[in-house]
Amino acid sequence: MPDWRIEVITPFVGDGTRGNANRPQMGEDYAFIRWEDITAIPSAQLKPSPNMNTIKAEVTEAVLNQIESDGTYYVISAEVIDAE
Amino acid sequence: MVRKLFLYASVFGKVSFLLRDDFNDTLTAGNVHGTPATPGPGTRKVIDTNDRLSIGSGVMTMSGLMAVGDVYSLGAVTRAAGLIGMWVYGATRTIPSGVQVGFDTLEEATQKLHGFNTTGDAVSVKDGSSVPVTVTQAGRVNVAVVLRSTGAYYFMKVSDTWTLLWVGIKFSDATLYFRSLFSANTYNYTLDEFRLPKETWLPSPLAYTLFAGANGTSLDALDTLTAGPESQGCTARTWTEESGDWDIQSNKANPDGAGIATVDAGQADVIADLTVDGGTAGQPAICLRFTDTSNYWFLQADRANNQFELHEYNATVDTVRANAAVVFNDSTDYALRAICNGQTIDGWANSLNKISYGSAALNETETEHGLYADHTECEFDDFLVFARDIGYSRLNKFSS
Repeated sequence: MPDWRIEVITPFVGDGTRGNANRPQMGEDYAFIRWEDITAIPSAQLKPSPNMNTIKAEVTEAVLNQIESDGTYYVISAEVIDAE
Repeated sequence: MVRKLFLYASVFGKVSFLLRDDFNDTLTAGNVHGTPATPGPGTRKVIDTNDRLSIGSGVMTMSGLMAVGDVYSLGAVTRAAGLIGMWVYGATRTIPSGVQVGFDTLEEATQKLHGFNTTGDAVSVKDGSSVPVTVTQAGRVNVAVVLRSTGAYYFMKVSDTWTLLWVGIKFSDATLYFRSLFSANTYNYTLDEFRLPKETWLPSPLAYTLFAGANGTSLDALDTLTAGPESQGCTARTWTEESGDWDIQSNKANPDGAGIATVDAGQADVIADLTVDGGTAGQPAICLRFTDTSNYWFLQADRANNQFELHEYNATVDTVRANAAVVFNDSTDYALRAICNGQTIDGWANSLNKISYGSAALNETETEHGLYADHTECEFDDFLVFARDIGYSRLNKFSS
């Protein structure tokens, strides 16, 4: 099965302190290859209300299927990662 | 050709080349192999299965269906630190994928390439099988590889400025072919200026420290080295213990607990390397663009959670902006690399696992970089910082 590059809306968790940094909840709930924050809300304004940020992530197909059926998250786009 | 030679002679003095082909002659497809490079020196070796490679109007042109393993080569050279290979991807670059230029241990296949590859306007560094950096740029693109004893420096002229894209650390094979290799595609493509100057040159680091010294030597008493990894010149800069107490233990930097130590490298846009070991309790990091202990970035080997993380520490608020799943074993060295370019910060662990963040506005122009520790078991070695795009105009001497 291929890996997928997705854009997904996720809440952020954490309180911004050492050892509990602000971070996407999706990264806590699911195994991922990598992700990056593409909303780029300033640190001082995390977490926004409603608590929704967009990240770009790389995940396996199995994880993508799980995220798509999880009401906590909304997958905006998904594309297969071509082998280089 | 006459105008070009006059320019070099008048502005830079005589520039000599070991190999040089500016394609100043005119040859039809099927008649290029075995001809002398112009102005030379060098003799062209061409494998052109379908007779698609011709020379004229000052460029080499591939037109139509090329075959796997088709090649243009000026032959073998012997590796020496500072030897510069230069190539120009032409303005016409309409193909679906793949034109390699570079040094490789094989002449007619890819084995250990120090070079570049293209997909249309996207030009990628090819460091062996790794493709760490890609830059999209239309029109003519100058690229250069400067060989190291092991590895190579990879440059591209980006917006008319020579830019260091990647510092390679692998391969030390002595015999390298100076060549271009083609894939099986229908080509409408030009290449120009295959040049290998006699003169060698190496980029100077902004900062280089091996943390060699007597146990107990305070980092505050340490300057960065005056010679780089290939003994090139390097400015001595002062280490500053921003927090915590730092000293040298077993030729590594070691904190007494959580802390930060920095060097003002003079540039915000840098390629910063650092070898880290978290022991059994630490999560070490490269500290980037530091202003004070409340505001900086750090690229962390989170050994406890097997995560490779880019943190923004902004007015004491800690936010992870990018992350990759990477296994960091206890008491093991890992080579971390950060490339800061404007508001983009990319990170690599052991040259393989890349993370990226494109909105790094905090401290965008700050020039202090260094070490970050959360525990006394953190150890640091081999701190090496290069400017990304300042100080490399020397390459203009050899290129158009």
